[in-house]
Amino acid sequence: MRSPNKNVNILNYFYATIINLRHLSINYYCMRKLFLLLLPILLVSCEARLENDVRALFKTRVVDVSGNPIANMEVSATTYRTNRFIIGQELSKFSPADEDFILGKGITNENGQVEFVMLIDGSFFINFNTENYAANKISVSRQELNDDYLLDIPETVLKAASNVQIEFVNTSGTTEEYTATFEYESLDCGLIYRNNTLTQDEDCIFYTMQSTRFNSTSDDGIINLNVFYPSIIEVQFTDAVGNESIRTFTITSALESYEITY
Amino acid sequence: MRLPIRIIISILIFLFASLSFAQEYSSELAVPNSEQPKRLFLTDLYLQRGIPSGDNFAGNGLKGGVGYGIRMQFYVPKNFYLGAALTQDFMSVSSTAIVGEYARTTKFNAYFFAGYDYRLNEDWNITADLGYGYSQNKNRQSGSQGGGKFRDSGNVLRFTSSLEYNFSDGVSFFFSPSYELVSYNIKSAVALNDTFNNASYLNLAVGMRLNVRDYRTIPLGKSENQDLQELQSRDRADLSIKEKRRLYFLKKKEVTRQRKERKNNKSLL
Repeated sequence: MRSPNKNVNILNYFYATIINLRHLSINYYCMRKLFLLLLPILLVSCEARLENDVRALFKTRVVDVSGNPIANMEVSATTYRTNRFIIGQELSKFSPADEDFILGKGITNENGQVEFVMLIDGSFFINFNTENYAANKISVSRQELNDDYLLDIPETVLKAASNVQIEFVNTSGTTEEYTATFEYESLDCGLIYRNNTLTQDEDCIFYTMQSTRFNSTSDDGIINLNVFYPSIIEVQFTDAVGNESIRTFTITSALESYEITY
Repeated sequence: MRLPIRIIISILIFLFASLSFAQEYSSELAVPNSEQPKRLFLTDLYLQRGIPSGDNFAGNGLKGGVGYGIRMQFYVPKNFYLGAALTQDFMSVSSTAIVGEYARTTKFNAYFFAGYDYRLNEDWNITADLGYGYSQNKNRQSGSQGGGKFRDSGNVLRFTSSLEYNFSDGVSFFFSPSYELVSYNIKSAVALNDTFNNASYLNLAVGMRLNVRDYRTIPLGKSENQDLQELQSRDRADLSIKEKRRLYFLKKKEVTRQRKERKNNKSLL
């Protein structure tokens, strides 16, 4: 004969099973609702859209600082710009990843001329994809295309990149700490095309290097700068009591080094 | 292979399989179509190869692929018909320098049409129609281009012809060349207007036509059974659904019997 305790156990087990099944059905119900809610979000949120029903035309002639045409160079239009600061590699940024689009590209002919069909997605950058001139970027706002969907820059002058080393050499034996600032054409500053004119981005925060201290240790006097050339670097340094000195260097080649004695 | 194309192919294979059995049955009856009942309505299911053509962005920069379509039409007097159609074509970009920086496009058409159906002989029909409606190219970049999407929209004017072989009263196969001219609403630089204003496509389609015919128009001679006469003599509104179905199939049977008789007479001569 079955004991009363055993009967109670079976009833408890049965009751627990029903409760579990009820929870399962509630979970299933909730999951289904959640899925139905998420489905339209998933369908809509994956849309990365460019402007509909438009094609623009980009054209320019690319020359170096001597006026010689630069041939066989890839020129592209993108919604993002790349920078090589931080770790010295091209990083695609200044826009979220899902808005990084290539809008168009072309190759310069022997006269340095290039033109290509371009898609549109707001403001964009013109890039010059060769090692020597890769740092040149032109920033263009959407308004510049106007209603004629034409961006015609008659001539784009590209500057090459130079690595400049400036070393502060302590010849006086002073132990005072110095502060230096540098004004130069940084590779991280681009060109701006505005009102049919191509100009340098004067507001670029990399134009003026933030002040650097030296002479606090024996090996903190060497500064490396990545600049466009030909260009001018102006170095301003100040000692502890406020005496200010200025040096100016004209950069004309890809690799240069200078010494400043104090 | 894309899912919609797989679905269409599956439907066509299924219909073809059904048709094969139907063929077996009708060959037994040896049906010539000299008195084919008039069509009331039909549906076309087809696969097509879209070929961009002409000196425009599609002709010079897109590469045609396989597409599919569905057409439905109903008949008005004197073998004229009216209808509506949907098509979808999958194409790839052969020159980004011409079309812009994207990798593939899906062309979608939705249009109305009007046309004429001409019966060549017992087995063959030809049709021709002219349609007008909406067209849209849904363009998509590759992953390396950024994965962006955008569309080019416009209006399509489409001339469609077809050569049709009747396997039975209900089903026929057709080959259909068509030509479409799309005027796009693409805003572009003046120098690009000629390239992007219009595009043309030649389409070659093969498909299956499912017919609904009017058996009421077929005159009945000596009835093979009393049922038929009795059902015909009664008011149609009084018939039950079962009786209506029976009447329909009896009429159909009578038609095929008459055709068989005619064919036998011909062979005797």
